Amino acid sequence: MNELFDQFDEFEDDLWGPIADDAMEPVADLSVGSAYQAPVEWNGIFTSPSEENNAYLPDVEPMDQTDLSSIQSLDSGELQPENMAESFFIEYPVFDPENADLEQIVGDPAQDMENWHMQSTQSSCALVSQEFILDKVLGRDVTEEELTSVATDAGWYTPGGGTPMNEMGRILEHFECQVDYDINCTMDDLSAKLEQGESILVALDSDEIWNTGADLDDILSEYFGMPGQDANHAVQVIGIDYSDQGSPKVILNDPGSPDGSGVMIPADKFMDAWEDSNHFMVSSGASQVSDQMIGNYYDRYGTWYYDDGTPERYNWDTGYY
Amino acid sequence: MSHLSEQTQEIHSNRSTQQSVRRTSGLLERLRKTPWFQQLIPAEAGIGWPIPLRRNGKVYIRIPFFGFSPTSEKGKTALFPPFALVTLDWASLVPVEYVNLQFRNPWPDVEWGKPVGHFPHESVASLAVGEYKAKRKELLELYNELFDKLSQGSDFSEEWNHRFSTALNILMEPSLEPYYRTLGKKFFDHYLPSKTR
Repeated sequence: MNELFDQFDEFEDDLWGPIADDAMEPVADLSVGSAYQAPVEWNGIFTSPSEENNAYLPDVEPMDQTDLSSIQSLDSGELQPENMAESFFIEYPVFDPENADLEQIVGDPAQDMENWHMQSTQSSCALVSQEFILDKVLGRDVTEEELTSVATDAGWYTPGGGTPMNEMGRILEHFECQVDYDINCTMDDLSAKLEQGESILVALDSDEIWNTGADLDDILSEYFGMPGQDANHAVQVIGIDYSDQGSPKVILNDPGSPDGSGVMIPADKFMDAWEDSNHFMVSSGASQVSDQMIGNYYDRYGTWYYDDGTPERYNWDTGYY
Repeated sequence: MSHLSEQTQEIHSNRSTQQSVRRTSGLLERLRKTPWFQQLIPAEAGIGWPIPLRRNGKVYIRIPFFGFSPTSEKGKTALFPPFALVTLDWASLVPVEYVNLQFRNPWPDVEWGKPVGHFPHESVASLAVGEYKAKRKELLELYNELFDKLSQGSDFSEEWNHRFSTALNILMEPSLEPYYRTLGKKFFDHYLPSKTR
């Protein structure tokens, strides 16, 4: 047994430590100088627990005492849409309803393009793609902040991470939309859904549509993203242009690109990028909920929503909702 | 078109090929199509460098997941702290543990929604995309060797350790390194000794 193996055996105990039996035990003092807090606060969305309330929360010991003081969070302003305007991700044309042969278009891309805006955080593509659909279905401007709150509350969205593929239609369900989840879908499936007036969200490999002109000889400083990761990205499919039968174009509302409103991707490129998610598709018809039901109602989980659409939350300081 | 539940059946039919799949650098890409990934891990997430674990005679592979996003500049991708850690049995690739790090909260001072660094880092910034992919593939294949050696109880030669350490040193993102070090302190102290705090 070599020394390295022994190190691995010790690793587990060092890493996690036991779960504290007594929640009243004082929390460990980390080297960065702050006491451990129960993880009930993310980005200010939840109210912070007072020390008294903390004592009643199940507590676990910290994983390690690594000093992260040298790490500085960077300014996230570079991710804001206004700062993205000078960049270019996509070099494909944008759908132009005035010059398009509408007889050859499936779907209603002109109308759907009106709902496009760029995602305001790096990981909210699935939320914003659902927002585009809700804006159309509900007939009002649902905000990204509102959906972020709902999805974070429900555990469908991880700040700084994103949305698991299987949760990509949950917000639509939350608003009582009829939602179908399918894999191994085809262009014909997209066409059929669009012809029926349904809204579509797909997950695809953004590298394959954002780095359109890149090749293996380009240096990394000319590349968007991280080569080899093949991460997926949610976009809304708003139409298909069949005017060139030999090379149909899929029309997208891509919330991750400043040029993403009505961007037209060649079908073969789109299919390659889509393959990475097993051709995953979320499709949605009309909502069963009226605009008047956005506020002042209980959802299926018993959460009350105020008339501005925000859910009520438990206040750890007061002990009241 | 097939309904999502049918995917499970497809995954089972692919089990027989897992032995060969995990021998290649395609392992991490393959993870994205597993049901547990699609259930638990954000689709936008980056797959981090694996961390080996040996416990009760069995070998496990721990995989951290982190957020990343292109910014306003080409060649400047924002990196976010790892938010989840999944442990798989190396022999079967069956998941045995999932940890939501935002819940477990090992870094109380971290603001999860704020970037902590950028990619590419200095040691790879001048590489061509193809060169980077080749180095990444080489490191993942070295990882495969590492896990196989652990499974077989083989020793690691000095030369092999040097190769692995060199490859990891080049590709490890400096801004994420402290987080990796928390998740696998002894492993990364062993192979990234020059950066040991």
